[in-house]
Amino acid sequence: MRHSPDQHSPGEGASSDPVSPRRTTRVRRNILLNFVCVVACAVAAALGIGAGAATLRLPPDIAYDRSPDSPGPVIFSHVNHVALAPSTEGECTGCHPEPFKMLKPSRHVTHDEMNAGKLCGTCHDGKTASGVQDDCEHCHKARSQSGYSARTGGTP
Amino acid sequence: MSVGLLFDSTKCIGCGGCTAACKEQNNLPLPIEPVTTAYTWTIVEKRDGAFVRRLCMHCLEPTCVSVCPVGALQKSASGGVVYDAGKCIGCRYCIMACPFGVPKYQWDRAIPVVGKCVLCPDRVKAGLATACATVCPTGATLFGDRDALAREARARIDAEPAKYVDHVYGLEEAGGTSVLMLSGVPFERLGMKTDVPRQPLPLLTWQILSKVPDFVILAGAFLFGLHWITHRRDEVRQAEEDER
Amino acid sequence: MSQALALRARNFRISFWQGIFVVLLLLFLGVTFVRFTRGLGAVTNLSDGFPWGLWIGFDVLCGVGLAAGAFTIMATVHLLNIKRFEPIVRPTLLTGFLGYVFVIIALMFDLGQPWRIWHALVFWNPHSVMFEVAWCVMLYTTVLMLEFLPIVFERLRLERPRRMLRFVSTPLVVAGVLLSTLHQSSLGSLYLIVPSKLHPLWYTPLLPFLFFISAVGAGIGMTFVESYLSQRAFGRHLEMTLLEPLARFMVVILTVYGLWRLRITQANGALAGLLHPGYEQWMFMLEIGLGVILPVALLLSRRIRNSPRGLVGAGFLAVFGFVMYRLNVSVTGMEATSGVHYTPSWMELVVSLGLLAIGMAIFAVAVRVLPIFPEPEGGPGAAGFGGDDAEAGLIEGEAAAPGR
Repeated sequence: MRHSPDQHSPGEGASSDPVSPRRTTRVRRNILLNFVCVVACAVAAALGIGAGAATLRLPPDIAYDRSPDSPGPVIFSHVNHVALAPSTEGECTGCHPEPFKMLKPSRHVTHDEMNAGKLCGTCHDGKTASGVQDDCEHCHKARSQSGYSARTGGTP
Repeated sequence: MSVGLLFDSTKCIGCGGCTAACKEQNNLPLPIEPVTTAYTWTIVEKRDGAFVRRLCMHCLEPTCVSVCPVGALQKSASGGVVYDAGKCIGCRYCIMACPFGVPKYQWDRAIPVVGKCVLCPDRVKAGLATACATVCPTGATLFGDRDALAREARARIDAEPAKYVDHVYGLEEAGGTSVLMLSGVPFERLGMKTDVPRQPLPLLTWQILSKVPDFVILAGAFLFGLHWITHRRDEVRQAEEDER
Repeated sequence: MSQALALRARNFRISFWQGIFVVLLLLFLGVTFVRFTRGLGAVTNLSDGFPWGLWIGFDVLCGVGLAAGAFTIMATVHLLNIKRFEPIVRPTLLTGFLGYVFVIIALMFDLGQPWRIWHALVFWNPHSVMFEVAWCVMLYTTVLMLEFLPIVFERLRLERPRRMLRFVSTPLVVAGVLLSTLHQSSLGSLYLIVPSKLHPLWYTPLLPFLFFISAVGAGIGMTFVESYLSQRAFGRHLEMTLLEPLARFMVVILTVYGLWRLRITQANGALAGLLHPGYEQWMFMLEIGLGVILPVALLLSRRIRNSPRGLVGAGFLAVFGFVMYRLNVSVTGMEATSGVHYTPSWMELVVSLGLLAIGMAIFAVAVRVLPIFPEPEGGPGAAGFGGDDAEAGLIEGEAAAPGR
C-alpha cells in the first residue's frame, strides 16, 4: 500500500502471478497452492541471492501446540506467508501486531478461535485464503518446512 | 553505556515490522496510522524511492526535556528520552519546541497525555534490544551503544561511498542524537529536517534563564534604592513638618 | 430633553450589549462542557503540527501583556515617586488583576490536564521557560491581588487589614515590577527554543526584551482605551493632563521598539523580503505599520495628543500592534514550518471572546462598586474624556495641574 510492486522484496514479486490458479476447485487448488509455494519460495530465494538484496531475517518455522486429537503437527512458515499472502502486501503489519503478536507470540491456536474469525481464521476463511476446515493436510503435515527458513537466515 | 539506534535507509524494505512491534511493546491501540501520532510512535514512510523511519531521535541534550515545566520528560541514563505521563500537565510545550516534530498529543481524549517513542526502557533495562530493532528483518534498524553505532555508520559510508550520502544524520543535529540515520538519498528528500541547529537548543533559553536570579537580586536592589532616593524628599518634608 | 434622550440611548446600548453578552455566555458554557468531556480536539483546530493556537497566542500572551499598564504605572508612582499619576493606579491595577485572572482561566481551557496545574509547584524544572512563566503567573497574581485588596478594604471600611497591607506596600511594588518584567519577557523567551520554526521576521535571541518593551507601550495604550471606555459607560475618567505626558512616553517607547524591530529584521536578512511581500511579510507590515508607526505619527501631533479621541485612537492602535505582535509570533510566524494552516475554530473564538466579555463585565461591576476611578468633581462628563466636553476638560485639567 505504501510502495509499488517494484519495491517489494523479490519474493513478493514472484508471488503475484501464480495466485490465479486458486479459482479452481478446492482440493486441486490446495495441491496447486502447495506446489506454487515451493516454486515461489525457490524463485524468491534465487532472486534474492541473484539481486544481492538484503537477506530477510525472518523468524524460523513455528511448530504450534498439538492437541491430543490433532491429525498432525502444524508448522507455520513465515517465508510462505510473506511471499504469498496477498492481504499482507509483503508488510509485517498485515498480520502484526494483530492477530498475531510479534514479541510474545502464542503457540496455541484452536479451531474454535479460527472458526470465529480469529488468529489464522482472520484470513483462512475460505475466501481471502483457504478455509481452515477445507483440507486437514493443508496445515496438519507430518513434514517440516524448515528447508525454506534455512535459506533465509533463521531467527534473529 | 548510552544506547541508541542506527537506521540505515538503504537496508529498509518498508515492511513496517518496527511499527507493529512498537504497537505491541507499548500497548498502543490499532490501527497503524500513516503518520506518527500519540498512538503510533514510529512509522516507515516512503520518500523519493527510499524508506525512512519516523521516530524520536532521542537527543543527547533534548529540547523537550529542557522545556517541560514539570520534568515529565527526562533523558534516562541508558539513552532514551522517557516520559512520565503522571506528571504531565498538558502544556504541549514539548510538541511546540521539538526541532524534529516528534511528541504528539491525544487530541481526542478528555484526559490526554503525550505520545512518543521512549526507546523501550523496560527492554533495555532487561538487556534486550528495542522492539523495533528486535523484529527488523533486514537489520535496517540496529540497536547498540551509541558511540559504537556512530563508528559503524562512518565505516559503512567509508566502505561504500557511492551508496551513501556522506552524512550521518543525528551525529551533530541538535547537538547530537541517540538515533543515527544513514541514507542513499539526501536527507531533506527523506523529509528529515536539515535546518536543525548543530548546537543543543536548550542553550538558547538557558542563556536567558540562568540570568534570572542575578536579575532579581540586582534589579530588586536597584528598585528598592530608587524608592529610597525618590522618597527622600517626602521624608525631609515630613521631618520639617514635625519640627514645626 | 437631550439628557433624557441620551440616557435612553445609553440604556438601549447597554441592553443590546447585554443580549450579546448572554448569548456569548451560553455558547461559552456549551463549549466549556464539550471541551472537558470530549477533549481539546473536539473544540479546537489545534493539531500535532500546531499545538499552540488562539488560547495561548491571544488569551495568555495578550492577557498578560495588557496587564503591563499596572506595573508601569505602579513603578512610576511608587518607585519614581511621580505622584500625579496616582489616579491611574487603580484602574490599571484592576485591569492587571483581571488580565491575570483571564490568563489563568484561559490556561484552564488550554492545558490538557488543568487539574494538575499545581504540579508546577512540586515538580521543578528551572531549565524550562514555562516553569518560570508558571511561577510568574502564580506570584504576580498574588501580588496584584494584595495590591488591589486595599481598594476593597477601603470600600468595606476595614481599616486594620488595610493598614497591614500598606506596611508591605513597597516590597509588594518592587516584587510586582520584578515579576511583571520577568513574566513579560519570559513569554518572549518561550519562543527562543524554536529558531528553525519561527519565521526570521520575528525570531531573534532578543525576543524577551522585545516582548517586555512592547508590553510597556501597550500598557499605556490600554490605559487610554480603558479611560475612554469608562467615560462612555460610567462617566468616570482620567484627566487629560495625566494622559498627555503618558502619550509622550508612549511615543518614545514605541519609537525605540519600532526601530529595534526593524534593525533586528534587517540583521536577520528579512528586510529585503518586504519588497516582495507574501503572507508573513504583509502581516509584519500590518503589525509595524498600523501598530507602531501610525500611533507614533499620530501622537507626534500636539493636537491629536491633546484630543481624547486622538489618544484613544493611538492607544487602540498600540494595543492592536501589540496583539498583532503576539499573534504573529505565536501563529503567523510558526505556520510555514509547521506544514499546516491554522485558523481558530469558532469554539476557540467563543472561549476567548467569552472570557473577554466576562472580564469586561467584572470590570464594569468593579468600577461601579469599588472606588476605582476618582469621583468626577463637577458631575459626570464635566472634565476630560467625554467627546464634546473634551476642550473644557482639557482647560480645566491644565488649570488644575499647577495646584499639585
